[in-house]
Amino acid sequence: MSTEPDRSAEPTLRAAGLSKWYGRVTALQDVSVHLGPGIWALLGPNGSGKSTLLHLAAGLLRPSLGQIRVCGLVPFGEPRALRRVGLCPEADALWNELTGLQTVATLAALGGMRPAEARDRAVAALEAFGLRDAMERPVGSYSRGMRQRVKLAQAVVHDPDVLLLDEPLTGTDPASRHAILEEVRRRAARGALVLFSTHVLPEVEALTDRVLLLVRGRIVAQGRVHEIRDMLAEHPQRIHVVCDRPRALGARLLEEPSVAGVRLLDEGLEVETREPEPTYRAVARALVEGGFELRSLTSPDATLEALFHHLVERGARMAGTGADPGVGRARAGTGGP
Amino acid sequence: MLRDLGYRPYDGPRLGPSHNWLVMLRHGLRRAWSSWIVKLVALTGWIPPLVALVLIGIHMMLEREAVARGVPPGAIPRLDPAQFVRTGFGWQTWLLVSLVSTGAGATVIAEDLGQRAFSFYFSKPLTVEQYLVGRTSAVAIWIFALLFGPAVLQIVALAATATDGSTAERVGLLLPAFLYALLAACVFAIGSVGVSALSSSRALTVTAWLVLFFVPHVLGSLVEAIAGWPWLLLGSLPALLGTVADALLRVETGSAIRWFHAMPLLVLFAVGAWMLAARRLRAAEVVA
Repeated sequence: MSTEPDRSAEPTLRAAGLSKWYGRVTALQDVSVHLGPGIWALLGPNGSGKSTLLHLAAGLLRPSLGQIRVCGLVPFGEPRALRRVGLCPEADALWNELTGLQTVATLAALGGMRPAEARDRAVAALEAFGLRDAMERPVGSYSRGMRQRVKLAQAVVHDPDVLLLDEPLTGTDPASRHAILEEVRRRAARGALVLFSTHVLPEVEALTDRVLLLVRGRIVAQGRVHEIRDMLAEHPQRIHVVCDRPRALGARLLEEPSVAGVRLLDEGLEVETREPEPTYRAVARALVEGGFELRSLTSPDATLEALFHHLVERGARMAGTGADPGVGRARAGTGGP
Repeated sequence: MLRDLGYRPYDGPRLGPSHNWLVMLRHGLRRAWSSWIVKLVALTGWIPPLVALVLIGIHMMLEREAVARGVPPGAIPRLDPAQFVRTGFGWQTWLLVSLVSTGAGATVIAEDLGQRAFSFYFSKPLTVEQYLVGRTSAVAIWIFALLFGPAVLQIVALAATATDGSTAERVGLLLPAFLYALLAACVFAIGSVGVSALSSSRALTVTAWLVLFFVPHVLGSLVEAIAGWPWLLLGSLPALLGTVADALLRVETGSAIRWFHAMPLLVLFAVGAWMLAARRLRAAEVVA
């Protein structure tokens, strides 16, 4: 029997009022998202529900409430949906006694490939992740990074449209990390939806600016980083300006209505604002008009990491008061990468 | 060295999900073979049948010598082929099937649960039934081979050494031996895999299986020996299967327990173990 996967529906992940609890523990609470093709970073502290969301999308868990659909299909127990999904789980659950090739070929065969084809594609996937020389060795002899790459190879071996990666960079060296991120980019560029959870924020920034931030099972932010940041009026931003005559520049900037405060540093000054865009324009204008010699212009709060920490603290605070922590949500993006 | 071989969408034919049990069967056979217990049994499993062959050979020599000396027929006790095969089954069951069902069967689901391997299996288009059929079949094949292989060897040797024109009758033992090996393989495989679903602790499931395998038989045998009451043996899987083997091979034992007592209980046990495993698997969501 031949059953071709239905590739007509666009790779999408849609959740509506999705909740999941284990006994009395709530892992996800009323999550509604609509993700389209492209790369999405799933961020959040430990225990925030990231893995639960990925497992729900991979059909491993049944929602307690609400609904989740992948490519328009409910994934739990639905072969047509599961053939379009590739999951790299966080758990290091590989079988030590099997070789890397046996592991990936077996899991590829479960996707419906004939044994010979499954083996060929397993070889290609393992080679793509740099395991050509090690694929015939038992997985038990692999390093942590190599095991991680076997997990990734089995996730992509059947060319899924929706790739779900749970902490894919764990235990990987810089070269492997680069290869993994390149693979993610390639797949997204060809129209796949990649949703990956990670704690390595600098590499998230290099890969995508679209994030989904979970705190205590709720989505506290979703969308592009700058959109989220702009919507957070109370999120203070500091701008560090290193130039000659910092005191004079500070005096000029204090006249600007968007500037909340100025503080002199050892080298230059720190400008505090809640309206970054007009403040950046004001700084640039003041530098030019005053003939200052600019050496550097940076913002420690403009990074994803700073925003992440701010939103996590804010989400936890809001959850404690019972307020809706999702007020910082940007628009639900479904466009291309 | 890291190499990019490019993105190659798979456009080839896809097998239906129904073939997944075969994938799981191959996977199960490989994983069972990785168990040192299974390897040990595969290496030592041929010792009892080889001993049986030696016994058959000695008996044949004694018979020929008796004929040459003109000893009247019946002076050398006749070898009962059915009883011989039945005894072989007993040895194989207690010595080897117990080990294989423990090492390869009673650990199946516990190991996958403990390792959290379900996130690999069930994120693919694999159903609980396909998983169970595949993994149980792998254990059953090992047990079947351990029972039927040596039995074939014995029956062929018995047929080849028949001196009283009973060759065809002895060859005819192949069918009941086949049926018994099949039944025992199914019951022991389903039972041990079902027990393996009880917990994610392999120590616990192995202990539970060993208790189920040995304790009722020991208790039942003691009660029968002391009080002459055999019915407690209805709780013993080896005893129930032995009763069916006796019926299939037409071995008279004089026991009050007959095959029609044993078969419903065996079926009930197998169905119950299967349902337990399926239910536990369905309930065992992959908790993140």
